[in-house]
Amino acid sequence: MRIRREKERRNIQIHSKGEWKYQVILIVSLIIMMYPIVYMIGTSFKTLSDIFASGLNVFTANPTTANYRSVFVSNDVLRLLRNSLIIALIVTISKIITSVLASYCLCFMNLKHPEIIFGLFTVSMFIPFSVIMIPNYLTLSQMGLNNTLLGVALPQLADAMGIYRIRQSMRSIPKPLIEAARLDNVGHFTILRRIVLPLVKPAVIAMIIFFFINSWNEFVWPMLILKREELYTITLALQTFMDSESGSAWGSSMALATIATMVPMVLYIFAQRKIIGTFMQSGVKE
Amino acid sequence: MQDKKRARQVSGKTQRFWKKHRKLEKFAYLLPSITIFCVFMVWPIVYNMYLSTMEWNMVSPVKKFVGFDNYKNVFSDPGFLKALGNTGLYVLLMMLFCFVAPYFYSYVMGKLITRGAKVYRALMFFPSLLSLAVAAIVFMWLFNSVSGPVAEIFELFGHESPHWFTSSGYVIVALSIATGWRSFGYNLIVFLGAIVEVPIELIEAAKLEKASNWKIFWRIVFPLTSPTALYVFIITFVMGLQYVFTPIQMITKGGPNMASTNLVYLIYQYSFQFFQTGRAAAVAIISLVIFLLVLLLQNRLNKRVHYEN
Repeated sequence: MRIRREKERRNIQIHSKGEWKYQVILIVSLIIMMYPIVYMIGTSFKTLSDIFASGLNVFTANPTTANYRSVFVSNDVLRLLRNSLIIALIVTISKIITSVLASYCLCFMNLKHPEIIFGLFTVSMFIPFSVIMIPNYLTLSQMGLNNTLLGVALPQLADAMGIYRIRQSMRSIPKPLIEAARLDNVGHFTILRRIVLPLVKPAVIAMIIFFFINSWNEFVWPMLILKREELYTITLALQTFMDSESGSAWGSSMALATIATMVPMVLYIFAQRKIIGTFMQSGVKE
Repeated sequence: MQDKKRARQVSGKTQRFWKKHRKLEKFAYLLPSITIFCVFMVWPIVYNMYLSTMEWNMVSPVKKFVGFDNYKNVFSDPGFLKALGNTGLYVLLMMLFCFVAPYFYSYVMGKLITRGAKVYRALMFFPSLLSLAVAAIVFMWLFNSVSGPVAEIFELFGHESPHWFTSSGYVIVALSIATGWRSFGYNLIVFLGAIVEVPIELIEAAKLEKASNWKIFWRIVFPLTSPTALYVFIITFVMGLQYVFTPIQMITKGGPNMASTNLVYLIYQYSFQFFQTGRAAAVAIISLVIFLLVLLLQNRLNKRVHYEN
């Protein structure tokens, strides 16, 4: 702790000279980056004439909830949320289970060549979606899962990124600990549940949030599978506003976009540190 | 008590079972992931290659083998060449927004400032939580050429705003900005993770020698973070290839006059709108080959950087 504080002090001495110019750059960039989000939320509370009159100003003197009310009438928002939630839950739960099991096996089950299997998983992280899009669509059609929520979830029940991160976290567990438990005749599943899971809990929670947000935000794959409007997820419903660039849908589209963003936003506010922490460790380290 | 005993007995039984079938147990842990990967990742690539040699409209029960005709047709299709060129532009812009920019910002936030880094980092990550569909719809209004905020800014300077989504050239820039804005934060965080690991002592020593920040970046930070840079480079390339699909589909549908289409969007159109599945598969394979070539090239460059230092 003291060493760290000492380091920080030295850090300040050396760097504080030209710091203000970097602070200016960062603050300006931050304002530009946050503007679209504030704009989205602000506009969702404006009347149409207000939107046209307000220029760059994102705030309004007379906020209105009319846009939200109209969205709830024109799109069955609760159904949209429910559909998104069903898919996100299936995907998240399944991804976390498959990732934990596979990572445990790769780390502690004395495979002959774990690095080869792991390598294959890792490579699949980079397979462009465009290459697998058509065959997967055909496979699901053949299974009769076209136009079903399960069809959206099915190809995503396992995740290479999840295996990558959770394995990374499991590798920090000393192997002798597991081996000792094995010698005491403890089964693998018990070791996983009693010893390993509690130790990798932070990574698991972060991955749960990551999977959930990703699935919630997904657009392309649900678009291909879900054609019937009553199955639309909330991101798909946004598309129905795109046909009218005339401006009449301006406020209500921002209202729906805000609703779609609420869920990831709330998760982020609660787990900001965990999410950022996991991503900061995600770089490839050799 | 009795229950517990029985439970122990049962678990003993299952344990003995697994002990007998050690291999089976390993397999059981890996099986779920491997099944999904084989069925929905590996098999599709193989099947895609097969489809790319067929003439097929996706519904007819008969596929006709045509060899490399789909590839030949694709290369003589001006639409494909247009999409290829556009993809290059998208990738270039995404490299700027999601590779160069986050690298610079993470260096500034990780090593050049002493206060506020955590706040910047938390807020700049924020857009990455949004759906690309949300980003697309927000930027459609931001870039609205009549009364969107960007048009207002142009007006402030006495210029007329370009019609972002209906004029070629501008449309790629606007769509890339939307995609780049939403993806910047994620890469920033990944870069930061690598940059905080660079020992501060090295940088202090360089500072005492009066090295400029620019020089420190190239001589110390860049060589020490190049594995992460490689990773971000690859995911940014993938973003340039496929993330832009969502804004294209939502805002322009590839228009005006194919000015904003890219390879992935072309694949989508060939297969799901024109029902030329063979051609679509051929384009998909071509895009995969391009991706692998870039990967190889980058890998070689990266190795050279390593050896030089």
